Amino acid sequence: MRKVLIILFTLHCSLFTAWSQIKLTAEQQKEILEKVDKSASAASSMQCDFTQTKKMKLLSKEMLSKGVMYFKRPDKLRWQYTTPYDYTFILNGDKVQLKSAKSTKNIDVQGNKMFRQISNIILNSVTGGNLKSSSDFNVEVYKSVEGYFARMYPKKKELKQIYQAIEIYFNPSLTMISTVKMIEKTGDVTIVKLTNSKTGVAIDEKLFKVN
Amino acid sequence: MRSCLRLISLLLLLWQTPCMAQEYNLLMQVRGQEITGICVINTTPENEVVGTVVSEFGVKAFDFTYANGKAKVLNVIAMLDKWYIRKVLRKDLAFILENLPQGQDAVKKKRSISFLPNGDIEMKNRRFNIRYTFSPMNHETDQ
Repeated sequence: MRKVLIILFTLHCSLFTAWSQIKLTAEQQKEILEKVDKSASAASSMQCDFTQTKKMKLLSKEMLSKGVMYFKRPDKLRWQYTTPYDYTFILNGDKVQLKSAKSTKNIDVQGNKMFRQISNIILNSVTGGNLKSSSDFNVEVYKSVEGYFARMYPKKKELKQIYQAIEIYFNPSLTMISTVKMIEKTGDVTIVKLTNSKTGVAIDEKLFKVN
Repeated sequence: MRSCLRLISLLLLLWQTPCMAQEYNLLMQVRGQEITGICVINTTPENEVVGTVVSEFGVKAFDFTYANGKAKVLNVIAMLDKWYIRKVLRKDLAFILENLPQGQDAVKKKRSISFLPNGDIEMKNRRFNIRYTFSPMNHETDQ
């Protein structure tokens, strides 16, 4: 009987945590997103480590990868996986380079609608910028026990086909993104946690070089 | 209550059944175009295979299953979700997964598979000019 009570209590706590998300009013949402936007605009550069966990529904398995990220305003980004595989995404203006151990590919973002959207998602997910006037997403802001987060529902067909929603979690001072959660239509979830974030640091231009 | 607890124990036992998961870096070369990703293949003790192919960023391209010599392709990303793509993928995967456990080079009509000295597994579909290269990642996990 005691075990049953413990299970019921645990279940109650889990449900309480899941439900304790409060959707902000339009006015509160505007205020929060303006704070985030202000911080995003103030950061001329940023670097951090990241941990990506992919939860695969069909395999009931998690896949973990780690890497580093460098960002320089307005549109330079290096997103580099270092373990368990080497893979680098470099965005430099209109140019993107995808580099793996066996392949290097250069893409002109202007000529590729899908890539333009993906690049925008990555940039905005990292900086938190453009959330208040996103043309790609309907944005709702919630307050949970972990702090504030924005839940973004894709507007455009290409993204709607992939994502159910993308959630961006902010740090308590609303100056940085701490976690990005991407919920796919298939039920798979990818969680990217950003750690050791530093803003305003000098970053070597070579890191953004697209050959 | 006792039968309920028994059911929970049984579910836990089933959940803990060991599956071997192997992760590969996947390079697909299709008529001069290159696509890279990660392929995860789970094999149950009953030799049933469940797998997935995702981009390095974690976006799923498709899932697949393989049992009794037949492969199924599921949850295909919209841009690849065409009947002719699914058909080619299904047949190529069936050939790969049929030959993967043996670890020996094989040829069947227009398809061939080679186990290279560096550990890579290369499958060629000469009919549609597609080459799949699976490079094992250096860790194997028990689930």
